[in-house]
Amino acid sequence: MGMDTDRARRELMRLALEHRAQLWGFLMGLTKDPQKAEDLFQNTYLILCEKWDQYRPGTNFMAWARQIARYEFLASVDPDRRPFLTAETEVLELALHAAEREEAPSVRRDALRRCLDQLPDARGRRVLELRYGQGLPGERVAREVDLSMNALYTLLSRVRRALQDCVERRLRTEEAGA
Amino acid sequence: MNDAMRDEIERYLAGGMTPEEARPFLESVRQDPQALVLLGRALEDQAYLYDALRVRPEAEPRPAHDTARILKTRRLMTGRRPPGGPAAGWIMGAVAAAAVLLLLYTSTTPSPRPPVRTPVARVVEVPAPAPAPTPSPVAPAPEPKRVRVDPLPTPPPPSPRVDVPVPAPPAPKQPEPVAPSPLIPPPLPREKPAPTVVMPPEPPKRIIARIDQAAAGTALLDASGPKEARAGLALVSGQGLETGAEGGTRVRFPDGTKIDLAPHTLLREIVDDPATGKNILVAWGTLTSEISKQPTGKPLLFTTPHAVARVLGTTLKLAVDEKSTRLDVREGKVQLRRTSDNKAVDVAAGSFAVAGEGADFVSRPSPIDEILLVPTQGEIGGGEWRLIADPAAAGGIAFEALRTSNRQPFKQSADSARVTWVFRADAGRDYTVWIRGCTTAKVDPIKHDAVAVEFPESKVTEQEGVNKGMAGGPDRALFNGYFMRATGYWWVGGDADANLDEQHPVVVRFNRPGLQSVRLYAMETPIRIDAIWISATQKTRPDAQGGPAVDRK
Repeated sequence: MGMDTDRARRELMRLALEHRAQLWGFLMGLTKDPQKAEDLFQNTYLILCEKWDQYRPGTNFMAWARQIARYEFLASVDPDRRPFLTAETEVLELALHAAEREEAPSVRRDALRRCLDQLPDARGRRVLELRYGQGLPGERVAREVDLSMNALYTLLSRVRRALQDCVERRLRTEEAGA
Repeated sequence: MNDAMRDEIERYLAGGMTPEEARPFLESVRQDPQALVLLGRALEDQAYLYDALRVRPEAEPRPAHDTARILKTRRLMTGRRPPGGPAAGWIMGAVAAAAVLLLLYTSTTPSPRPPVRTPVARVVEVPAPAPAPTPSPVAPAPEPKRVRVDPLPTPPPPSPRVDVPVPAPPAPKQPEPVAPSPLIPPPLPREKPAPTVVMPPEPPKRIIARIDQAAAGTALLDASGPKEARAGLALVSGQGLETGAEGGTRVRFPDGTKIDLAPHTLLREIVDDPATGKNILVAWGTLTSEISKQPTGKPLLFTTPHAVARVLGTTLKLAVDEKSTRLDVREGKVQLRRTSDNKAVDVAAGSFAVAGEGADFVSRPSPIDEILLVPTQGEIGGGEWRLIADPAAAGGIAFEALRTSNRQPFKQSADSARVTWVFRADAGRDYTVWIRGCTTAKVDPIKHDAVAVEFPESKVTEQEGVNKGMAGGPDRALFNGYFMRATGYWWVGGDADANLDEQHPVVVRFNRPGLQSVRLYAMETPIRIDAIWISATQKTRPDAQGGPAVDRK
């Protein structure tokens, strides 16, 4: 195996790891189920590795990876549902593209973890643990914390906003301190 | 961004929307750039939350095929050695933990087996040979040796069932009547067979276009999922196309309309309805298209998330991203209608318009980046140049000068023999000038390989060197050295004898916008010229066969 091949594989692996959150989030958005998202993510990752020689360094890695993830997702659903889901994948891809930032994903991830540790809203934290930690669907989460569905969405929205504000504040502070 | 939209995003992410509710919600997000960003960040943050909060009970090992997938992934990516670096930590941790758990589990728990899940890969694992004793107090767990992983073939999508009527089988011979036995209950009367329902065959699908060229990674999309797109494949109405990392995919309709797709472009649907005409749904990406004249009342439509372009026959370029759609028209006229307010603008040849966030919705002249001048567009003056057929020339045609009265330094007069081209260009921009040609001299070609060009009333910058100024004025430049590289045609950017044009090709800047002209003079003959490329983007010498495509006449 030549140096170029090694380098190309390493580069692909680096990109796959760097963009893991976007890919996983994309699949989670489509499936709404952490376990299914994880399974599809692993399949996608495997295909990326198998097709590493088709990737051209310098081209848009995420566009390529999302394309493979999308196909994996569409292949896993009932063919009758595909036309609607195709439009849905399109909007989610646009959203992820619109949300791309300059900072490395790991910077945001670390900031979010720290903000999560400091989250003052105990009920909000509990809801996040149930939804993401245990992978419970929305209605189960609402039942566990004794909230109506609408109240749950409002609570999640408030918690996410608090986390986002905290993350942005941290990133600004770190940027100013750098 | 209002709170209601934020709540709706959470409702969507939590799976609280029915498909009927999700459809208009997603459409409203698509139209709102702020909502798009918010949804994108929420999607990404979900992954971080999952990583930070997920609970994986130790009593439940990962299914075997998951472990195999991770192991396979690692092997595919890195060969035998584990990857280094902190970035790979999560994979390594997962691999090690899963392998240990798997081994512990399989060695201590013979049954029951973990629930069987639909495998995605066939895995054959062979235990590695027992490790040699080591002085280490804790021997590492042996890693299973992978010998082969064959992906199971993906089952083909179920094909639509068509019941074909078949002749009824001959009636079975009636058994002889027997006396009913008291021990055997009499047979139940047979139910009347349900009438056979024969599904009408699907009407044959009309082929609306073909894939002329298919770049690697291009997928053909329809309800049965993506397939590899190949050149020559027929497209039926309703199918889509998506390009990968490579451009070069072209669709051609029977009326001659062509659509060229850039990398990472998604045509969600290509529809050609005999009643309404063609409609191309462009989700994102860039395409260029030459559109043949469309039937009256049936314009070709390009529908994007932001606008609809109605085309009756033209050449255009369409670029779509998450925030806007830009239409550049090269020939003809196109109406662009913005979806958000239904306002329309007519975009004429040489103009562009942008529909999207923060952009004035008006038609403006397009910047002119590339100008390609070919022999068929040039006008000969004087008796030195003539048009010849030359199969080696880019378009099969070249200008040839076999003799010249010009000498260096060049002093042109009103009757100097020349070829003149007239073209449009922008003022105040630097254009690099490339001229493609060759000498046909067999003896001493270094003395038979130069031309001069003149851009009247413009500023021309030549590279430094011994031949600078030989063309005789600030609006002229010498193009020299056509014998240097090869016997055939190649691009020269000025004085190529000392490769000076590699780093500093000739640059022209026009003083006024609009119509410009360039004149070509022979300086050393015999010489042939088949193209002049005046480019705002090409700063380095193109390959001999590179540069813009020239139609062969």
